[in-house]
Amino acid sequence: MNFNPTSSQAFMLSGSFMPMLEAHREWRIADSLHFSCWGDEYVVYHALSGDTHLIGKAAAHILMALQQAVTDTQSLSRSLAAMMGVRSSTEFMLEMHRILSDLNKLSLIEHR
Amino acid sequence: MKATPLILTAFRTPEALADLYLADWDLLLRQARRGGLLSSLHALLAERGLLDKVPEQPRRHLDWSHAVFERHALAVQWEVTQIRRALEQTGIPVILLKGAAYVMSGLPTARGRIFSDIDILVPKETVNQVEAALMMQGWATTHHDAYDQHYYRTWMHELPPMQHVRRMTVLDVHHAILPETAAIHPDSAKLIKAATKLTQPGDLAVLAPADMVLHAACHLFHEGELDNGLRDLLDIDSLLRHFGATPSFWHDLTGRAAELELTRPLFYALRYAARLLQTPLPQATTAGLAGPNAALLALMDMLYTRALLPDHPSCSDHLSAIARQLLYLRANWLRMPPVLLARHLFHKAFLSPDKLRESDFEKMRANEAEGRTISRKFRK
Amino acid sequence: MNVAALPLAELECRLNQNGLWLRTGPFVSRIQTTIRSVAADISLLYADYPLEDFGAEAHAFADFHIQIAQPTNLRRWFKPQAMFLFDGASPFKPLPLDQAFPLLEWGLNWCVSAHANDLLIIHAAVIEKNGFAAILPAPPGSGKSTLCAALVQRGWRLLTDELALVRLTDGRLIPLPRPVSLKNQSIDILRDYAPAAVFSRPVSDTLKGTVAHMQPPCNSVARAQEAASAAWVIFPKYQADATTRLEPVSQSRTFMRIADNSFNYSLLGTRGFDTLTKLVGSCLCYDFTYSNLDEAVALFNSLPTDNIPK
Repeated sequence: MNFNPTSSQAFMLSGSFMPMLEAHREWRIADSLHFSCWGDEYVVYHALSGDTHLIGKAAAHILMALQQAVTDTQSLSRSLAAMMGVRSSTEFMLEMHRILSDLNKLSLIEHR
Repeated sequence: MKATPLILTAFRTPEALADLYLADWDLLLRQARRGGLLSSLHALLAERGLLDKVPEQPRRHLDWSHAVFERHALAVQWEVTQIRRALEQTGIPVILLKGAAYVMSGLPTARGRIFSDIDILVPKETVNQVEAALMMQGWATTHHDAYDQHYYRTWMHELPPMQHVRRMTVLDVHHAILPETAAIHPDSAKLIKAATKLTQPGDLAVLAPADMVLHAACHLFHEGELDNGLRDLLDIDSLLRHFGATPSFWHDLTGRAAELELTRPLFYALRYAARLLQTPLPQATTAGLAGPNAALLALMDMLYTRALLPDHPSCSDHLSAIARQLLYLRANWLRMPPVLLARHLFHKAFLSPDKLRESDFEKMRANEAEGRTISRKFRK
Repeated sequence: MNVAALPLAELECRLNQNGLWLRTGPFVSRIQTTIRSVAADISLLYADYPLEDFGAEAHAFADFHIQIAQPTNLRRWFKPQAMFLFDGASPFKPLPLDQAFPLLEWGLNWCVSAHANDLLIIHAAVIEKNGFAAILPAPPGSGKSTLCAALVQRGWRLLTDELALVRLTDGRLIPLPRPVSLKNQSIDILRDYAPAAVFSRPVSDTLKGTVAHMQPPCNSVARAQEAASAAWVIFPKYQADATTRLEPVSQSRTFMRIADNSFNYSLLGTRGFDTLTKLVGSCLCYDFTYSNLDEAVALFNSLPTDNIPK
């Protein structure tokens, strides 16, 4: 068995387009996540996969929200928009889907 | 033969280690490391509440190996989760074998046990579908050489080892527990039918208790390279002690051995487990198992009591090297008819470069930086 | 007793027979070799190191049993080689005989980095002054060793040139002072910079080019049991003609870069993560570009100490 190298490219992954229809699909956070926070950046350690990721404020906000409760895409978007002080535009939703898709690929979140 | 090696004393009667001098600990650690057993020793001492009696210097080495084991156990569980996810859509029954099976079924055999690859067993007719599904999720075949591919696909009981491109983990997909070319063919359908489903979600299963012991025995006594021989024998010892507590187990074991044509490997497994590790066995079980004739048995005793020990000078005598060589030849002979054997050994001797030797310190460092390289990236 | 107390003949005799039981930092290595150049380099570079004295044979314990041997194949007649044996097994391939001593040094590094899992092990140099230690993590070619060698020749204490050891229990840095490995032009640069320093004979054509080792300062070896607290993480980068420059790096990015340069961060799992979090959280972190050693040393001597996070 080999252990995973760390990944510093959390958000270099190209997010695949996810249809808007999924607004009500619920997400849950992976087990065994550990966070360290300095300013706007977070380091997340996933104890099961052994991967370490560097993530920004938006992704961290989503993970923190999911740590409180299982939440659907739409509610997550609203919460993130409020935190960032922006209106939920189409562009914003696309970005939201991209982040969720990336977090999912990294096994940090999954569909319930 | 020298006096009982420390490593055997350690696993037979760990309490006796309290009397060791530091120099004995030094030697014991070296024997255990060579046999891949440091973390198993840690686990055994922890289980018996003896860790605190270990002097500081050797204790540190045991703790080092325990750290490797802890990460390894998590990594195995994660890897199995990935395999389950990759295959769950296919609906194919997947059986975990050996180390991964011990871990996922929570057997005491898994404690401290470190292994390099994960092995699964699937029905033969589904092998191509399984391979395709795994490739979709990032596993790739490791042997690109045409001879190797042909060798595996025609004569072996498994696909060429697959390696995950990102995680670098190695997965062996088997459709039988012995090669197609071997003289005996334990029926995989029977193994699959009797398998025990794991409790967590998904379609994963492990072999039934008797089959699990028989597979371990069959593996060890058809194996040519006995570098981890004592570790594999300890697996058998541990499985027998665990399952043996159920009264019906021993009867099932011998009956199943006859049904699967595995009486002989079982005979050897019980014999050497009892001899080297003092595994308790019911008299009725050992009396009911037929072994080879006396002359062959004397030879096998001479070979196995040496080759099953760690390949360390302190566990060896003037016959140890030849014992290992003879058992290597025997294993190949058991796996294949003679004509194929000549061809295969020819290829191994002359055509396959010894890839493991290509490493140097820098490469090792690169591997270390990714975590400990426990997997053998190249199979001989 | 120190290595220096042994006449060369006696040192060779021990290396040939039961081995030299050498303590480096928290480890005891038993070294055996019949190769005379290795004995000579040990005598030169390890002069100040303590030998373990166990009293009786029954109490002898070594963490690592090491041999530098010559393979007994035909090659030894036309292309002699040296190989590193770890308790009789060979974890990496042989090198030309000329490189026997560098091979011992690399082998000793491997022994530590592949086993010592009660420590977070980072590929980095560590130096200390007035109770404040700087960690210099860097890939090969960044000039880390050159800078480290210069600093220890100007009064900084050497904790390590290659392997920063962070104790998991308290995050303290454990010294492992050993000869400093210098490559190519760095050898002459350091000779000019510190004419009194002692170097081994340069060996050319290694995997890393020409290599020589510099004897660590006697005081650093004497203080090898004295742990230190990290104050700075500094990523050095040698760049010809560059002006000396110190630029802050965020702690999260420092975390990721150290994790990438660690031998066992992944293996240590949650403990690795926690230890690195505390370490990075207690340091000021910088990228450091330099071309002039005097300026670099002056800058290190004026590193801030008043705003180090707790």
